[in-house]
Amino acid sequence: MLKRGLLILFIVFTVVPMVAGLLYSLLYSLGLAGLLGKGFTTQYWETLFTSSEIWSSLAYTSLLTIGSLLLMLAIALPLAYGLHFGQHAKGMYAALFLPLTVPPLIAALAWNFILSPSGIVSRIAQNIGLIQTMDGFPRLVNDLANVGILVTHVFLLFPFFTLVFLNLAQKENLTGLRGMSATLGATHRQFFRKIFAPLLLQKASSLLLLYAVFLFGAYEVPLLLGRSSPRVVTLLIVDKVSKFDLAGIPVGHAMAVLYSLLIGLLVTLMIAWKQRQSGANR
Amino acid sequence: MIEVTGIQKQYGKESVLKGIDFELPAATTLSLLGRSGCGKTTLLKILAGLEAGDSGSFKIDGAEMLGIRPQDRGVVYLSQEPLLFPHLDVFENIAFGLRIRGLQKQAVQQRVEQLLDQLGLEAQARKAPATLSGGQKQRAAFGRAIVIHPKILLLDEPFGSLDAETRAEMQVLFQTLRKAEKITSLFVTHDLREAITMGDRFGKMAQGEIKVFADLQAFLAEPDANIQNELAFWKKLPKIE
Amino acid sequence: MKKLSMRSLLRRFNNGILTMLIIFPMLSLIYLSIVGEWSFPQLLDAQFTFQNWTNALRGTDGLLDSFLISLFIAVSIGLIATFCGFLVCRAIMYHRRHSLLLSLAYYPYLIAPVVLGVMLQFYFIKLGVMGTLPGVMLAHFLFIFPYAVLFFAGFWTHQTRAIEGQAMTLGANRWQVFSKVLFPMAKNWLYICFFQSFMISWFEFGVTQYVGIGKVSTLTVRTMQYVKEANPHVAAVAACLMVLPLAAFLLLNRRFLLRNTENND
Repeated sequence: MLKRGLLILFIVFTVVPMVAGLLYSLLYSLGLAGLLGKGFTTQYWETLFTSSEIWSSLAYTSLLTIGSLLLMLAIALPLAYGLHFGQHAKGMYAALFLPLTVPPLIAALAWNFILSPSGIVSRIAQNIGLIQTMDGFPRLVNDLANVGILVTHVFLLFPFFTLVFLNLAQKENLTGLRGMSATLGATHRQFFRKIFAPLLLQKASSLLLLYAVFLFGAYEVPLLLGRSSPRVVTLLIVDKVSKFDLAGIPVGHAMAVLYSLLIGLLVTLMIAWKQRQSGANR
Repeated sequence: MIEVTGIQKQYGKESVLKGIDFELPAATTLSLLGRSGCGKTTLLKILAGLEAGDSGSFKIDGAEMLGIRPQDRGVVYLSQEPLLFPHLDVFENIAFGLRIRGLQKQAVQQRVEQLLDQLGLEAQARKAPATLSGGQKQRAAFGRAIVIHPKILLLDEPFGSLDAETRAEMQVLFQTLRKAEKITSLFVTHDLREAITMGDRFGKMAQGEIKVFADLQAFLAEPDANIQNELAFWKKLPKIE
Repeated sequence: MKKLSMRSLLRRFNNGILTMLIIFPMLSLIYLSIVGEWSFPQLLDAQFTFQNWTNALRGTDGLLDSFLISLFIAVSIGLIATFCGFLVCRAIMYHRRHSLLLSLAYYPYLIAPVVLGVMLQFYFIKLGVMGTLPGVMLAHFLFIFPYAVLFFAGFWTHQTRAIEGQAMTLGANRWQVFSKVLFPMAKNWLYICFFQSFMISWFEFGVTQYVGIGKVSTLTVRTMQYVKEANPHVAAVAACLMVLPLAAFLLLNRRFLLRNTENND
């Protein structure tokens, strides 16, 4: 009996809100709910699909996600390699834990202080004579190349993944594998490229996918460091539904539905992938 | 006295136990020869109360056990996995059953120490289960079970994961202890030698049914391929002069 | 020999840069929090003052209140989510369709909280909890609870179930099984889940702002407010209040940070 009660609690607080939320947003986007609910219409969905805004936002968010992950890996993998194979860098190891205690909002704030035209790096450049005025400093936040967002995401992610890789390297006995591949004639560089990196990436694949989903839904960092257009999906949704422009609200809800379905699809794929993996391990 | 009659169990369409019957006098051990998949684990779990059977009866000294909660049965089930509580050391693992029965500290101390001595685990008393060898773990699990004097001890290939030498040691230890403590037990194994070594009575379990034999002779005369193949192997060995 | 030492020097240099990359943001926040006037290009010659800190710690600017609100929300959510997650996950994992049930938890956990907030706004209004503390707490619970449920999936294994059975046959009743076996066995899991849940709640900004409509001013909401008011120095103090106690505590207890790596003995 208690078990059934607990399962009901689970359904009530996970499935019910998801379904109810999706339903409401769907109704809203079809003109069946909310302030503008004047009866069934597909006009908001048409607006959504015909405006370039949503497509550029989706593309932009995807690019940011992939870019952040790739940059992060470019640091985390070699670093994990270095730390695993006997470089004694205790300070480094301890420092890796620090970013895990920093919320995304605060990380964005700090990098804004560091990289903005009036920020710390700019002042250093001025003080050592690299630039004459603030305007001489390149735009690194709210910028075209999204340097600020990428740096912040990398800062938030690479220490965590380095620690994960270090742990996996231990578990998968990569020291033993390096010895083995050396006896087979592989150089250290070949070992890194053919064994170390692919093996760890494979083992961490579902975790990487999980973080891709998180990054895709990132909110605080692009809010502080992104440009006003294009914007990431979450920002665009919140913007649409909180504006005074009432016609935007149903479009925002349509977008929320679209985003949820997209995430739902990704999550379903991820779960299937995970189950296949654990099935293969058995 | 243990009396088991007509225990059945079905999973969907598959009949795992097709009416199990046997009797077992107190302080004796019934060795059951059975391969994996013969339904032995299901039977032992039903007897321990960890799973429900579909029908049948299980009496200890005339009292019906099925329907009684596992914690009130006094039936302990030991499997190949020792299942020691990972957060408790060896001493506390063995003391577990006594402590939850609210025994006095001193009595617990005395009883557990005595048992540790019998098991040869004095030096491991304060060690965590994770640091023990396979044989030591199994000994601790064994001590944890007999310390509460179960009405019947159910052993499911308890030495299955041990190496040959440790296994032989454990067999001797088990024999000594069960006689000293007058334990009634049901010992399931797929190993003929072990079955012969451990039991006072013998039976075999196959396809959800049990056959108990009058004595060892009858057991060895059973036209079962496993038994006969094993015996033939030993007979074929050249005599060493 | 010489080449080798060159290489190790380079390595040290690289490690140094990476370490700086990690520490620099925190240092810059601390620096900013103790700067008063900060006109370009002042750096080390800026005016240093502890005014922002004394204001914060005396409670004159409301930062202390925000700290306490954040603490209250995060501790409550951490405790409730951990406790519910532990028990609910057991019910799920011992169920026949456990993998299906468990996978349901991924959806609310992985969707961006702020979008969940947008989709649920109507219901929050109906419940009368928009702009209230219970509303923010409910919103947090909706994605931290599934996290906690997922977290414990690794604990409720066949092994755990067998140990439960073992304890029962040794004479432990349901209460004793929990109090003497399961809870002590899961001690580390419970600690880690609490801290992770605590941190997710402590870090949250998007949905807190959205459901709280700025009325429930947690530290993150307050920080953002200062940023918008172009008051970076107080914002930096708020940021430090959010991170420093956590960083100090967690550097001493690293095991709480890495659930994937150090949580089973």
